[in-house]
Amino acid sequence: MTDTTHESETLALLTRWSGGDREALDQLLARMYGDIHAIAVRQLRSERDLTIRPTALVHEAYLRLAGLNEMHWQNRTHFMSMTARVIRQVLVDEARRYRAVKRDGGTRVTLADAHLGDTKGGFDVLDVDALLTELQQYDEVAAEIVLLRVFGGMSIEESAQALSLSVATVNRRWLTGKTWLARELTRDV
Amino acid sequence: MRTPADRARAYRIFSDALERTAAELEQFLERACQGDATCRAEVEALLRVAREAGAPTQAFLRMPQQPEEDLSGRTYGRFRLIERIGTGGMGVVYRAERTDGVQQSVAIKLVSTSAALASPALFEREAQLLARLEHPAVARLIDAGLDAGQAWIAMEFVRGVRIDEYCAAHRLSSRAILSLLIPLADAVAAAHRMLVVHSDIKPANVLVTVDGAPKLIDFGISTALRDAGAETAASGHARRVFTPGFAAPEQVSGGPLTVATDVYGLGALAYRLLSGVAPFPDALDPAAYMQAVSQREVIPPSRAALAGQGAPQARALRGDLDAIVCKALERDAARRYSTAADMRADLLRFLEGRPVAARAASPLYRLTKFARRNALAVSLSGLLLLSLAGGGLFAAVQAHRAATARDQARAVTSFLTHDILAAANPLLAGTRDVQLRPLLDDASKTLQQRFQGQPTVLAEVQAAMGAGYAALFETAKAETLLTAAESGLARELGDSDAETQSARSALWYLYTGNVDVGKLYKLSARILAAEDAVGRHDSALAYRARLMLAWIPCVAKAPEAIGLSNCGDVVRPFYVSARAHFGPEDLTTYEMAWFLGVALIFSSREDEAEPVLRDACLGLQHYFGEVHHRVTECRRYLAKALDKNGKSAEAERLLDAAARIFDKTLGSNSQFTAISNYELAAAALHNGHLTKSLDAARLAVQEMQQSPGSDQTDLWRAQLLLANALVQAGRSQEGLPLGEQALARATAALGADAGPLLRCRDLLAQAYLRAGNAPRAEALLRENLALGARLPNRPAWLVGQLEASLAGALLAEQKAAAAEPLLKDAVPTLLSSLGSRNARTIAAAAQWRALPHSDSALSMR
Repeated sequence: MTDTTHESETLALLTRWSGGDREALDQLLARMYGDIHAIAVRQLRSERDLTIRPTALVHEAYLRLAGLNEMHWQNRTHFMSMTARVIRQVLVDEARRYRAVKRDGGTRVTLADAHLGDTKGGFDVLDVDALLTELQQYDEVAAEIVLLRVFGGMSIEESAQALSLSVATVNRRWLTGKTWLARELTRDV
Repeated sequence: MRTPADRARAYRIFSDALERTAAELEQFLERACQGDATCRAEVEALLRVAREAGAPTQAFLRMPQQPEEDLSGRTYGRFRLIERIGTGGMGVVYRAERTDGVQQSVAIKLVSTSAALASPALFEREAQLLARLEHPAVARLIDAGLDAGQAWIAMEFVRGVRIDEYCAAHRLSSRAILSLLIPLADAVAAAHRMLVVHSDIKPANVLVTVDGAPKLIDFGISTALRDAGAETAASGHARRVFTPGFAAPEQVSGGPLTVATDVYGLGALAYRLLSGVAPFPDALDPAAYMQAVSQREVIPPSRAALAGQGAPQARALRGDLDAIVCKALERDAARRYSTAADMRADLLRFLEGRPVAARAASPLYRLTKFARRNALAVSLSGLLLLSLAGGGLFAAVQAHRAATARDQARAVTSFLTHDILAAANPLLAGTRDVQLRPLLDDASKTLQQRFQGQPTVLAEVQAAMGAGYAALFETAKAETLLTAAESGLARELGDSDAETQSARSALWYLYTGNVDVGKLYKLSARILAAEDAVGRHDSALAYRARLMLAWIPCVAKAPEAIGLSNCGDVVRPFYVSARAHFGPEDLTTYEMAWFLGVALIFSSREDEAEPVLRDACLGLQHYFGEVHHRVTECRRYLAKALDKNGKSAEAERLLDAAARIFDKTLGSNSQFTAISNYELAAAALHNGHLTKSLDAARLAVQEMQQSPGSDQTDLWRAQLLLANALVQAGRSQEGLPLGEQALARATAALGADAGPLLRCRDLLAQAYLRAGNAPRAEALLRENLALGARLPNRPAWLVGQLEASLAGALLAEQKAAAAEPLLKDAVPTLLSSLGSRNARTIAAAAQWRALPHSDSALSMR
């Protein structure tokens, strides 16, 4: 499969999805999982202490699926929000795999630059994932924003676009969600 | 106990609270929490965190840069980036210059965390604070800023070498090292007065300039000491990142970082510089280090260091230095020096010959004294001391088990291997005046009956003792114990249990040391099967086992001792894969590099081996310290590569050191010492250092004669080398007959068609060439060529090499016409099988070019 075929098929799926076609989403996710997994794994291998920078991951994923940066802006944010979902899944899978393989619990897979505050050293992917799932019960909107920003590296403006909300609302819900998350992550157990 | 309902409630209240104004807040909280103090506390904590994070709109810009991007030419503040000089823990570092023409060399760190962005005000405040820290031993913070989402810090550019490299390269004495440490302690004290904690003191963060001045770099924007009642959340992130090897226990466990943390850092630095190894050299990955730093006692640096440095007086002084360093390294922060200034004062007192404060009150000191009298260097509880005085090794074991109250079998092995054996390991300690051997011999007599009915403990003790004997190179005894341990542990704890694999691992290293190929193969298969059985396909053990299983058949197919062609290619994928899997700085990767280097040398690809082995040596040294036999072995092989690649001076230096280390630690009748001397002799001969060459060659011969193995090939080669040295020294009448005798014995013992004869005959031919007898050399080399062509499974380059050697002799006899066809065949062969950078190819090509009429149709570089 050449790059251009891959790209145009992806583009087509993306267009269908933003038109409301749910099935297109599934196909798209499946297609992207492989790509992103490869990128994430490579990033993990190259970092000594298993740290992922989601922004770097998205950036690279974006470049990989070539030509998508020419897309209509609407589609772009949709693409990014979907990327965020896939990235979350990929990282969680990888983190679980690492934990299973190493006898002593292994080195944690961590997130850095996740906009969660001072992340010197990063936060454990599995912790973030679990907390995010919990947050989804209390505050869906906040959870969605956290997903987009933490795993997708999206800005406030982009998140607002993706969720069709005002920037002010996004800011408020982001503050709530990420404060709670950050506190849970740094709390002494 | 917070239930999910509690958490949900706290969240909702917090969420609402954010909408309230300051005036309404108090009332709102009271109403919402309804007297539940825990809930209230939680919500208030959340509010605090939210406030600290700062205003959201400006703060959360996306990180704009990829770490790998080259940013040379960009400007930040009044600086322009010139070139990237490294990547630190928190960002990438560039060298930079001023844009306004003023001469100022700075280093700019582009901070990669979001800390700065989360609260720019805090970032700026900390930068201002650090900019006020001016001290000769600190790389000054010059400026800092936040440009378009990128936080940057400009520091004084320090041109220098890492302090550990500096101390090693200049072979600094303890006193000289202290004179570097004292200004550093002073600098740290100055920072503490400004309430700034460095929290990452390690060799990588200390440079020494050309004038010999130490400088702490990378104060970074780590931490500013907060108020006493600070939220742990603020410093809680510290728990997640630390540098294994130098981090304090509280950094690892998530406790608050204080001034005492830096004292620990200084202590660890001092330890590393004075002894050559980190405080826990065998626990350098994060998980192991966490366990080590919080549970194990540190071996006093004098024990861990290179020994043999002097008089009893010096040793007494060293006791004080031990005390100072150990006090700084106390696990309990309250027992360390309370300030860096205090530590500095004690160091100064030591230098001035005055009594040090560290010695007086510390119980560790008393134990250390006792332990030293008994040649055991570590932590012992009171109970243990009594047992040792009375019952020897086993009593100590029993007492230790009782004292720890954990019926964990692991405690036994750990105790034996880490506490007693490690301290007494002659190679680790660098001395031979230890009492380990009698301790082990004594124990092995009563081993069986002592642990009658406790098969698990028995097996573990056997494993530990086997490892002890292995460290003393008593291979037979080690093998007996380790094989017994393996079957015992497999039976009691399971085939794939960590302890079982650990015993197998020790046995594995034993076999690799003795190149016992058959046993090594079977053992590797067992190890791999056990790992695979529990899904540990990617463990270090599995990697090593798979490598062996691939390498051994390759070795088996090739004729022995000539050149194991292409076995380097068999090993390389393992190295590459390990590097990708474990990272470039993992011990397993370095071990793979080591195997690859050795394989390349056996394949005669010394040009490729050199960089690989350099890397391996540095890495292994980092893990094991200067004196460990694995490091010395690695250097030995590096020396082989260097010698072949024309860097004989460096090779000689390495081998000199290696021979001395082996001699000092293993004695003169160890095969390692003998072989090192042999290789030293060869390198010295290349460098024209005849006396040294003769001495080393003679030593090698002597040592090999004293410890006869079943294989005398080394001995004959040593005698032939000696012959060469004698001839070179003008003593052909002694040398040549000696050489002929050695060759004759070799031929008689191995048979006329044996591969190893090639090397022996080649050495003799070289001797004749040196003596000016080219015809005799020619005859010998013709025999070699004939034999080489007859050998099955020979490497591709072998005939080419033999042709080139013969051509050399012919050229010496002015028989260029006879030499030409040989070289015409040899050069392309060598070029294609060994490459253009290989020493043999280069030599042959040079010979070709030296011919009176070269055929220019054969183009070579």
